[in-house]
Amino acid sequence: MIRASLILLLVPFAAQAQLSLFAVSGTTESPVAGTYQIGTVATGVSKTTRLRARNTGAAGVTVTNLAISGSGFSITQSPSPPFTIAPGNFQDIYVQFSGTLLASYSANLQIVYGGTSVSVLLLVTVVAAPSLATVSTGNGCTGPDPGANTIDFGRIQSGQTAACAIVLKNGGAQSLTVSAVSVSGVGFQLSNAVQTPIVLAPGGSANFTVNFAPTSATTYSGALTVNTQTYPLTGIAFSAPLPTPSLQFDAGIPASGQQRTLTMQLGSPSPIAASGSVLLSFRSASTVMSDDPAVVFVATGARSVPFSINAGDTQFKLGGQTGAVFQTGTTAGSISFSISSNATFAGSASASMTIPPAVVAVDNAAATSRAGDLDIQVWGFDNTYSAGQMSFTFYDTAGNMIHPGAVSADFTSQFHTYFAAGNGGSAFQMRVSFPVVGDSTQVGAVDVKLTNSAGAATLQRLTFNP
Amino acid sequence: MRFLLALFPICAFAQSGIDRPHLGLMLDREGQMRPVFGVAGNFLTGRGAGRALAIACSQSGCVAKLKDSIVSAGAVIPTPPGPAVIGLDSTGTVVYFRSQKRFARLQAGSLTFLDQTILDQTSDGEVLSVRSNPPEIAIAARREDGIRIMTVEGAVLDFLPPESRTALLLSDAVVYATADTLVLRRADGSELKFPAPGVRDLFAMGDGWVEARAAGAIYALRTDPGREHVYFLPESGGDGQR
Repeated sequence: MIRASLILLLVPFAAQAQLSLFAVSGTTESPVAGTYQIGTVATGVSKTTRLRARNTGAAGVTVTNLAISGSGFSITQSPSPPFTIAPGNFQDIYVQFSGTLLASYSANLQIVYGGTSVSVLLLVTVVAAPSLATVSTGNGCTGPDPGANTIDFGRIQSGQTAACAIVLKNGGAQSLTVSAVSVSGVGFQLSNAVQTPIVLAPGGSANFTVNFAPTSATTYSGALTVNTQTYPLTGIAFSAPLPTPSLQFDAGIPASGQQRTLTMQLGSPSPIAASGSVLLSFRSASTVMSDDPAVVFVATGARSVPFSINAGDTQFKLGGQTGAVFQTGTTAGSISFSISSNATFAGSASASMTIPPAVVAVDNAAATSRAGDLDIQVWGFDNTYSAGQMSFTFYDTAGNMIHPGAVSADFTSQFHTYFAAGNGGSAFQMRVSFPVVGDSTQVGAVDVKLTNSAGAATLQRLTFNP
Repeated sequence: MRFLLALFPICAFAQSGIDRPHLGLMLDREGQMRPVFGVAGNFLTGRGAGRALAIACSQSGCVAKLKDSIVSAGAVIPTPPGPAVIGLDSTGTVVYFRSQKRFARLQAGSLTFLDQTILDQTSDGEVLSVRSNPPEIAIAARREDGIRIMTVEGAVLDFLPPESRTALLLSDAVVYATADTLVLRRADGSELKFPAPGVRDLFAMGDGWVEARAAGAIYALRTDPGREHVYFLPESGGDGQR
């Protein structure tokens, strides 16, 4: 009996469990009494209000009906009734409003639960929205575009400033108050603080300027906010063009078999830091060899070397050094240099070095006397790939020429075969042996003449050693 | 005339004839052995032939110290592990094993450790280079007071300047490096200096050539009398390899 009484008592108590309404802004709840002032909404603009039905009772509450009545109002987010709100818990209800007529609007939001209900009268006033126009000045801007209201500053050079004159116009028949003007986003800022509120008379206007001042080459985005309206800001910055670099070689007459140094400079300090690659290419003058793999930058062993320059410098670093050493190879032709970079240069940079055909270059030579043979060894290169004709003039130990004088030999076909095998250029080591009958130690020296299409090279008095 | 010169020279293609000039063997930054072809100022490096800890080349050939062996004339001879210093001579090779502080002679494919008393003389210094001129062995050793050249018995032959960082003994000269210079000191004491900053390692690259490896470059020093010059060796990059 006692148990039944307790149950009877509890039922009406549970039926009186209350829902309390709150307006939610961020994490702040504000109690809502019979009416709630939403405030003003610009024409054509939607505004969403977040209300919270909180169960302050000790038992669950089942909402059986949720409705709003009023022109321009709608519930956009909420579960469909019936739904239950547990004790201490809550349910948010999102009410959206938009209006086109300049007027005051109201609506009744009603929540029915457990045979009772809670309701609130929502009030809102539609006001004229300020129209926004843009005027370009100098490196100005365009927009707002009809789609997303974007104001576009276009492309400007990094480090420069584009000023965009903004004109606020009140196209309505009533005075309009602009209470807030702000700009957000890196690179964008108001040229001067805008004093608000700004009261715009019908047909009146107000001006202010938004600056776009990018500091690096990238795409920027921000926002201009006027009262409740937001206008995306966008702009692209590109690097300042560098002066045309000059590529220079160290002093000296170009020839094969050299290690030369390339430097790269600007006529005036670089406005920005930049990097890229210096590219080398080789065009052979030979019909025998189309390329020469020894023509490379030594720092990389390849035909490109990285370059970099700091803002304010005039001297480029090539491979981390002030100059890049490259080999001229052993083939007549032309070595050309160009640059590749993401940076923009005022003009294209290039340089070339012509390696002329030359007589056979002898790097080293030796003459050896063996029993029955005289050996002559030559290390060198022939950048014309036409060597083979040669002559040898022997002298006795007293320095007298040995009869019959110059002995000619033609090893053109042997050289051609060697070159055609592709040994990475024209460098060669050659050994020519002369069979000797008798005492070879009586032969003291030899003159060697090596002839190619560019002329003859002579090795004078190569002394025979045992 | 007591001799008769044939009028027809021979230019054959076997051991004699025309061939690619082979300057020696270099050790690149990754420790790969690479043959070096070409002539002075125009170098081509060949493909890597395996990793080595040290190499030395002369007119007669190259010797390489690998992780736990020595390669000489195509033969692989097991050795103590770790780095070594190699000195070539006309009859063989002397090797100093740093981890064991022991000398050995490599001859005809056989490794023979030398008298134990020798190591005692070098135990208080770091052996940088070995010069073998049988039966004499000279070393360049770094001690607290600098690098000195000495016999393995302990007799000092020469001192290098205090600023010298490393040294390589050649048959008739010594090459040493300071912070920014490569120096070729002849037997008569005369010196030739070449700008070459940061050299840390020196190897006998080939007959008349020394490889000088620095942080920013790899140099090739030509040591032939009258032709001394320092060049750059192409880094291992691609195009310059054959």
